[in-house]
Amino acid sequence: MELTLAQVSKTFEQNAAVDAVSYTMRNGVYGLLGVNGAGKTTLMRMICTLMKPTSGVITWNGRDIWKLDAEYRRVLGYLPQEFGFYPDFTAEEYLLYIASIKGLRPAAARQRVDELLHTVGMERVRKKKMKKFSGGMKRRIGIAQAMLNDPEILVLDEPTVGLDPNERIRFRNLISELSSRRLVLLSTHIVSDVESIANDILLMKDGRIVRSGTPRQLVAGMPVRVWRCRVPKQEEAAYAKRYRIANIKMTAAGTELRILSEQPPCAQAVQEDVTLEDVFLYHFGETGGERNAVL
Amino acid sequence: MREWERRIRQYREHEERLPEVKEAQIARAAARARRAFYAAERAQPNGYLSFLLLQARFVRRRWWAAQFAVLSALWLGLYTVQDEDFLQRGSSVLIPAFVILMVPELWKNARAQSAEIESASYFTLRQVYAARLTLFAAVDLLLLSLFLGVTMATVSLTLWDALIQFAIPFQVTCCICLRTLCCRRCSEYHCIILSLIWSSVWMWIVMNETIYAMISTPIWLALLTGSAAYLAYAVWKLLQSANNSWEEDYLWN
Amino acid sequence: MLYYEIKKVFSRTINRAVLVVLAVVLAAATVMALRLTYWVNDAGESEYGIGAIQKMAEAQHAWAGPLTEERIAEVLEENARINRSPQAQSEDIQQNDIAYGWGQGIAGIRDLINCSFSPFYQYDYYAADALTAADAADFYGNRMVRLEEWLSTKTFSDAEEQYLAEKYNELETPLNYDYVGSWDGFFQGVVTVQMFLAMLLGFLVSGIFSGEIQTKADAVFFAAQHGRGKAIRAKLLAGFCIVSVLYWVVFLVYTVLVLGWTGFMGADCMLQVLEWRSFYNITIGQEYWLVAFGGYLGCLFLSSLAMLVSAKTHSTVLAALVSFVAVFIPSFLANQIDRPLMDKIVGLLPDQLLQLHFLTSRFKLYSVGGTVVGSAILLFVLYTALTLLLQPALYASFRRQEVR
Repeated sequence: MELTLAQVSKTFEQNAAVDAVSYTMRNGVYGLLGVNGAGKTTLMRMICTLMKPTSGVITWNGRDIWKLDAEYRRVLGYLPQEFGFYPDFTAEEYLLYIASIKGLRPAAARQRVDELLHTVGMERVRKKKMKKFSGGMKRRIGIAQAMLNDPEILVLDEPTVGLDPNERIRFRNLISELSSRRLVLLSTHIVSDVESIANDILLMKDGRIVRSGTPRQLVAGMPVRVWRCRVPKQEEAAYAKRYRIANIKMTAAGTELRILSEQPPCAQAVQEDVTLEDVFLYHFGETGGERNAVL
Repeated sequence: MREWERRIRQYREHEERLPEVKEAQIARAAARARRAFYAAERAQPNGYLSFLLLQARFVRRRWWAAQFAVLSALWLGLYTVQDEDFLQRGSSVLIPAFVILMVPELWKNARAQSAEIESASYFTLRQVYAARLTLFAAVDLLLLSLFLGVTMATVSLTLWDALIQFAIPFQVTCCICLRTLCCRRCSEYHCIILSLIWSSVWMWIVMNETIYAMISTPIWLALLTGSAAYLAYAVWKLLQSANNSWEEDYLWN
Repeated sequence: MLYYEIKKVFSRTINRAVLVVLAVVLAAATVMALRLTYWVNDAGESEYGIGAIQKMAEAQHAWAGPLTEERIAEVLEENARINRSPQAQSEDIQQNDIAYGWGQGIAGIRDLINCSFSPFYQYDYYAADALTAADAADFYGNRMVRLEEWLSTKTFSDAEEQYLAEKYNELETPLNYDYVGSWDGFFQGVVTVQMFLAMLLGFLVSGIFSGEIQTKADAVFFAAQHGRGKAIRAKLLAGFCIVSVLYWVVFLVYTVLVLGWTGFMGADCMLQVLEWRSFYNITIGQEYWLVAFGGYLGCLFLSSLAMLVSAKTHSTVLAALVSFVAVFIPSFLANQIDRPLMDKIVGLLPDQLLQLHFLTSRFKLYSVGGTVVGSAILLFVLYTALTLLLQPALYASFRRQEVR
């Protein structure tokens, strides 16, 4: 199995939402990391044939996905960032409905729905209407519908939004189990979601893939180091202007800053291990002096 | 011994000679058979006709029942009152109401915001809309044929009157519903409001002697054929635009 | 707050489209009203438009003044003279039209004569042709006679019959006559204008309350300082302002466009010059204000009802449907159901406020505490009270909303 993006671009009016992205994916988990407006959802929609690229081509096992058409969508499972549901359908009815449009025959659909309700832990509430579900329960049903056709490609756009920590852990474990024989593309801006399960991580900024690699490679490839410093409160703004700050913690003794910098930012700085979040901040963060910067 | 008694005894003797059957083996064979069956079911995609029939299961029957009730009310009124005035008022309110009852089902995907998942499925949103339109067309054709047949048999109504009073408001309201469905900036509210405005304007046209008298047969024919042609275009446009609705959506993502 | 509430309403494209529809309806109703009057020139050809209206007004204004027996006799003689002319008696339609044209000046008075000499709820166009000058003496007396004949075939109570008789007797005669054709066109079209206004204004205000919930802005709204007080009053005021401004602008524009060409001629004539059978002893000018304020009250009530439905059900669609149903369905039922009780109930529905001119020519009576009143008066009292009651109900209903 191989999904290839060759110079894929998507332009809306004058804006290039995705800009000449080229990448090849095989089975495993791929994490797509980036801030809002990076182009993640646009890229995923093109992969799911919701949008046609302005230029470039996406191929599945060497064949253009637009030419494959329904044959490609048969092996595709998609969970969008914001997805709706039919409030008056029960969980079971909703999955059966989605199964019908995924081309599953009725007997296979019923069996698959039973299996997936068990897998996502929603068996007991199968007859309950969707409008009564919590956010986490809806998300679980969303994952179940993406899995209905046992897809070879699973595209999940910000799947852990609104989930509590328990549910996020359960979700990560589920994705790990599923990834052994399929391609999972998972977009998020919560680094910890992909850190432990992704084989490869793609960092996306302004429509381009700026870096890619395993988490270890990305961490090792950081050109700066991470430091912990304690500074007086009144100097906090000055440090924020000069350096990228990963974390600010108020303590009785002052403000503890986690700073990204090649050189130690102050005399008392203590070097810390680089994490994937630091890598994210390095590529996507802002210093306090930048326009539109928060701090 | 009678023949049947002899046969039963023979059968029992034969059964006793059979080796002991292992239930576990039977269960395993059954499980394998089930797995093979489901694997075969999953390997082949569903055909369009089967998909169409499945879609019918998900359409809420209440809307068809309501449409039937509306047509029944219109027939009852026409039969009881037998009045030109009622024909004009009744059809200008109830025929658009008949069409408006399709709106909740047609708008279901947009209202539920589930179109993104449906567009990425084997049967796309276009096919879902096509299936729903086909189902509604089939059922509504049946209901309307029944209504027209019964009405023309029991009420003194010419075919020409039926075309003017029923077909024109029906077609125009369908056009409004389908065109608003294509429009990304429109919601069910726009559809209903525009349909109600049309219903009131139509009532004004047919109830106003001065305006009614001004409209000659060629104009009625033009309205009839024009609205039918536009309806065909609206259906085509809906199916064309169903899968292209993401092209204009520049999301902050 | 008021500014932003109004801005929220008109920032929606569909609501701006509703204003366009309103403008189109106004234009169409104005054209229809103006086209009701036509002038037949000396060549027997029909002319339409403002010029035609002005010619008709001038011709009929020449006969303005008290409608005494002498004046009636003059009209009957003139009518007979025209009928005797070769043009009137010709087989050629154009010649007939020429003769018709000569009678346009007396047409208004001739219509009144026809009403007087026709059976009560019928109109015989040729009644005046069979009369002589001597019959003029019966002109006013016929009104009471026809009423009594008609009442004997109906099931009014004694009190109601007495009330009608008193009202008929109170009418001061001779009536003052002037050209009232423009008023006729005005009142015919104003029903359409007011019904569309009521429905479309209902559409405009239907989202004022439900919009907060549908856009999921309710959590922020109700958690704000004024969210359960001043902000809700601002919404109510916004609804009131939108309805009031739009109603009066449309109504007054319609008035000027239809009546302005003849300088509101005939405003001081009694209503009976326009509606012979009416028992409301008011002038046409007073009838105008009755219709104006009746329509305004109807629009205010129906809009308040739409806002209440919107606040209770959180559905803009349902609120809009209520506007449509409340305006159009009762008129649809009224003509089809011939039962006295149903008639009484339908006669008190709010859509009647939008058809007050028709009401003033009909005999809808109600007994309230032993006193007989016309339905127009009762409607005013009832819906003023209901509209005033709806405001605190609406305020209280929305104030108590919970966000779930």
